[in-house]
Amino acid sequence: MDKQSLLARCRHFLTDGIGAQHLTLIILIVLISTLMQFFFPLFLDPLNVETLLMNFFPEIIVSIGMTMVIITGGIDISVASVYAFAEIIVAKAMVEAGWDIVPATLFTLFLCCLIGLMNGYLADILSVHPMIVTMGTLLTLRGVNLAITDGRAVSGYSDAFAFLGQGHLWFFPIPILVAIVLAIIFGYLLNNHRYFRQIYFIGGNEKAARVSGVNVRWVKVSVYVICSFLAGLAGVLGASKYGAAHWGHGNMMEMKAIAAVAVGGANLNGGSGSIGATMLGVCFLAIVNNAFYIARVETFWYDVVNGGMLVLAVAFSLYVNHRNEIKLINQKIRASNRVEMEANQ
Amino acid sequence: MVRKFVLAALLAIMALIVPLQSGVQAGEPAEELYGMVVFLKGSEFFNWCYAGFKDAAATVGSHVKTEYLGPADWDASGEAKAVEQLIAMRARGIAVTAGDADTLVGAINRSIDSKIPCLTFDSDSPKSRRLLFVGTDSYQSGYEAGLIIAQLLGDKAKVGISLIPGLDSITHRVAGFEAALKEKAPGAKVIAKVNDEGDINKAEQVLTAMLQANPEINAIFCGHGNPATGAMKAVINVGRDSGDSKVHVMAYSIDVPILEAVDNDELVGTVAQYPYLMGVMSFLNLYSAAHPTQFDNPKYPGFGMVPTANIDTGVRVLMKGDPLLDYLKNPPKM
Repeated sequence: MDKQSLLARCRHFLTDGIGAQHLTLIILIVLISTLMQFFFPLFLDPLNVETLLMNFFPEIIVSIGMTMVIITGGIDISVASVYAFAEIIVAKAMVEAGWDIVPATLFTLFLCCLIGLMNGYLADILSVHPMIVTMGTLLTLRGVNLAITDGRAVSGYSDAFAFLGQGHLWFFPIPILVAIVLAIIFGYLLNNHRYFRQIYFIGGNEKAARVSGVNVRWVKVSVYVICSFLAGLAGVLGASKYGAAHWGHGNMMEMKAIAAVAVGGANLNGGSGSIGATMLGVCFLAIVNNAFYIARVETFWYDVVNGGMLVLAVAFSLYVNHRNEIKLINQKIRASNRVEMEANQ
Repeated sequence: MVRKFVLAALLAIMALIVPLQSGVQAGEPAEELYGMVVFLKGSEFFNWCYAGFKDAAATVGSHVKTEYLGPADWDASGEAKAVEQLIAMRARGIAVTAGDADTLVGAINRSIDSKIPCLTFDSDSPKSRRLLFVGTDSYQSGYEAGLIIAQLLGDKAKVGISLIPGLDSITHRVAGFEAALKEKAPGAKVIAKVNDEGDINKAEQVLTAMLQANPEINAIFCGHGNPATGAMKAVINVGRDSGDSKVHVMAYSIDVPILEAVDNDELVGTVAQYPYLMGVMSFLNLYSAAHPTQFDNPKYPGFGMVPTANIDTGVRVLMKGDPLLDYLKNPPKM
């Protein structure tokens, strides 16, 4: 790449609203980390960094699936219940039914995929807004989780299972490694694989995608399946990390995942977003959360910041959309003027 | 001119930063951080606990700081995260109330492994290696409530119980309540138990349905803090808040509306724990555990002296006219 095209790409990145949002996020993350480290030397302490990441690993995994659902123009607010459901099922399969880790985990993930399948099909066949369908799933599963556990926690797994959520590989906690590997795989697929590129097409213009021969129903349903699968996987790791499965775990996780995707610059109406940007969103929210703890600021204010960031991100995304539409209209006007001028000449 | 202004601004910033960076001055004791971790953060009960914790810390010195952490909902995994965070912050002691006994085991054990004293208060996590438990004897508190209903209605008592299934503390309270009824009024019966899910509106809904389905019920025992307001509304919904068919409601809360309802005779009474005392005792024991004396702790080597048995902070059933009602009506502000 020559110097001029590199400069042009940089200029485009900075003038493009989403690029500027990502850059702002990176600057904010670096700035907050630097200031925090300066005033509170514990901030970048390895133990604190590990705690920061471990406290957010379920959100990292869940937000990968949420990103894909949001790119299609949908939303899945059932992830918190699916997370707790997976915790409970894997725990019951091992502790009460005596299954081994692998069949218990596979069975749990299979059930989670079925939930995703149901979400996707109901939203598509009934043409009901995905928020309503997944809210139904959220409430139904919460009831199921309570009913099958009688409100009690399920615990008492083997050390091998506990290692999944509590163990380390080359000094890295396993759940964090899993989250990073998943982010890389799905990030690559979203950028490069034809099937996953269709998600953007559907989110940008569903009718056009359908006319172009994309199997819209299948792609949308499969995205919900992936989202539930990832929420289930986070639940399995969560059960292992906490050493117990409980219906109350993962409460409000859906909101954190949606906030991370929105802060990362995805359009909540669909058509744009990326795993890398969502990871920036999760990082930002995790660092702010940790900064509140370390700086000993009342943690209730974190929710205010979280909510405020979500509103700001949505407003910014609307502004970028609006600006792009105006750009498109201006381009069309310029093109038609040019055609008119050429015809007149 | 501009250069001078920039220089002055830099000096001003340095003047602000340097004292912050220099930290402890010679002769001053090093700062010590103690954390209290709760679920339902912000509830009056836990605010009382933290007030006791903070006030007890203040008696030791200004170098002792306290932190009040935990989720605002019933998510024990959120509490585990808060405990982990306090470990990363090198806290000198952690008091935690277990929203779920098993979920907190790992985090509490990690605290002990990191040589940070950790105890439980109000709700225990008995499978963990916590130093001790500070709280109410749940069975005894239920027993005291059962005695009042037995005295009031005798063998004619037909009771409905509002609870959250699966929580050890509530299970023990209900067991104590039933034992008192069996002992003092053998003819009394528990007719129904309903799950209020810890929600006032849900409590009103399920208790109204319970009273409609079982008109013989003449008393309701609330197994925990949340359902009492819902129970009062349920009694009004079925028109049995006064007269001969009145349903007598026994609460388990020291929230101000509940205390006022006891004063106004809308509730037969309420089981009052001593959350402020729980906070005070939690801090004092953590402080002691964090400061070993010349003899090592016989049960937990490396820690300072703490009782090897749990601490029972006691309980009292408050009824109309109890002077404690007025005292409790002024909860601490956070």
